[in-house]
Amino acid sequence: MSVTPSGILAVYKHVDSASHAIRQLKEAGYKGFTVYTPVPNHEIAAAIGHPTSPVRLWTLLGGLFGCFSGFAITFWMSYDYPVVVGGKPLGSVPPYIVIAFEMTILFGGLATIMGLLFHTWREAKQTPYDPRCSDDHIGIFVPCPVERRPSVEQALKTAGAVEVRVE
Amino acid sequence: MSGGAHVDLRERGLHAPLRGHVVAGSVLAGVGLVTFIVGFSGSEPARAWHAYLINFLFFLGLTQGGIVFAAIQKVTKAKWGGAIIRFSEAGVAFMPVLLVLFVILFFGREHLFPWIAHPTPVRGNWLTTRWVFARDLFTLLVLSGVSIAFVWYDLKPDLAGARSLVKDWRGKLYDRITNGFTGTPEQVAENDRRIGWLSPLLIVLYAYGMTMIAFDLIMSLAPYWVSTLLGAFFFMGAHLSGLTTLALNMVYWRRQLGLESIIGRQQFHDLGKLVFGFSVFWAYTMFSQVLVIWYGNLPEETAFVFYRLWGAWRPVSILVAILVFLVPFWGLIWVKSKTTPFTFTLFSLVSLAGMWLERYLLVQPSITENGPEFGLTEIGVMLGFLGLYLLAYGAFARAFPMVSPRLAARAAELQH
Repeated sequence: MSVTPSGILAVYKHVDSASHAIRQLKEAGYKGFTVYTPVPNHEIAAAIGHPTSPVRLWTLLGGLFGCFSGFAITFWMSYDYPVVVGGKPLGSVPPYIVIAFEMTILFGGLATIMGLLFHTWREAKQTPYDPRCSDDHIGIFVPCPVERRPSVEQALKTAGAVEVRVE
Repeated sequence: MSGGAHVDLRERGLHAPLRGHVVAGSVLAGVGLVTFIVGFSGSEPARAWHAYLINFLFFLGLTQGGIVFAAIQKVTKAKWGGAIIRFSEAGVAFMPVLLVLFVILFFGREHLFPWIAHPTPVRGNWLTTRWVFARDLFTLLVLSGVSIAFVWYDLKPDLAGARSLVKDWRGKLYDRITNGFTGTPEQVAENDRRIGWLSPLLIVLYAYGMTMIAFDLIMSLAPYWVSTLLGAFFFMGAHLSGLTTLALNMVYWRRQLGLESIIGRQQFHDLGKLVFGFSVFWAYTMFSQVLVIWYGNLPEETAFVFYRLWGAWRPVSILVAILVFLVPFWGLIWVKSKTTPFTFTLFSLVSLAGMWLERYLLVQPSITENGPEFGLTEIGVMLGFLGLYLLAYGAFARAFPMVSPRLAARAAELQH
């Protein structure tokens, strides 16, 4: 699938100028821009702030499904092949909580990985990328309509971009 | 942090407003004393002593569990808690009071420990009045001693820094504690080395000592019941109550001392995560013990659990699970509820109330033939302990700086 030109990609050499640009974009009210960085960086993380990740919904749904399936499988097995152990009732909840708990963790974890892959894959397809961002540069991609381009370009450049181009 | 702000923090930490602690503390302690005296000289002396033991365990837990938070911060070399660490260390002033309260407990032993009237030869000499009280007093002495030493060395550099701002008795006290400490690199290294071995020692002694207390003051109330996990259950719950107490103190002092700029989102979020995590851990230890007893189905073990899960005590057990686990779990799972002072205070209070009820549930069903009783005696004695705690805490705040500019500056380095 080809990438359609939809915004502006700026490349930065320094963390300071990149985080400055991120703050300026946020102040101007831009949302939904993408930041690429070759290494995790506290300053950039702080500049981006704490946007809500869509992956957490995957974790919740996966966990709930796991919990449900843990109880379902234990109860189904107990009644499908009844063996009385230690004089306890067939469907005894206490030990099943352990299975349900582990299944919650397992499915929650797997769903998190799947959600992470799904969202990053989709974003990677939609946003342009500069290979230097895997080396020693920081990239910011801002999706914006044609009429807003000059102002965004200006802002990114004054923040200290090495290169600003329309993608 | 600039020099000006540094001096300002020193000044502010030394002048903590204490009227609330003194007034509320004295009134509550008075109320408690009156209730207790009326209680044990009235028709139900045993009931007053039961309430006394429950509150002794609860307040010992939240005091010592809070000091251990400071020790854990030192062991893990954590910086985020720099501005709030003193609020947990200040509880150390209550330790000597607890020692006195434990000695008073000795006079109520006939009302509390069934093995005094009905000796248990199956336990050998383990449960005899002299041996139980001797070893528990020793345990508490060691715990208080190491806690005081730990706080002493963590205070030292701050007292040296604040020495020029105090005079009279405070000046003499600071001179005594700093003992020539001026902040040279060698002295700082020596001080850090001392804290470096005192803090892990305190954590290990906490686990050991609180296990001893739990075995002697909770498990021995049902002398034929044994649980090796009870100690861990007791001291991890105590640590949770220490954390929630710290949360309340943090919210209170943050406003009283005007520390909004240095106690921010990060501290609320991190402490919230700890409270959340230990609520889950409490449920985990509780469940792992119940599960094993359920599986084994040995009569001498199940009696303790059955008595609490069925019959008159069932509602209390359910309430404890809701207050300590379910409400804080769903309440504090969100970032917003941890970082908002109001909701964080609310859920900390719920958790703390649940912990009190949990101590009540551990002690009371073993030593009374009645169902749950919750009346003036229980409330009054609890308020009395709370009053003594507030007075001791206020005394610490009167004597020592309530915020450490040195540690607060280290925490501030993280913010940018």
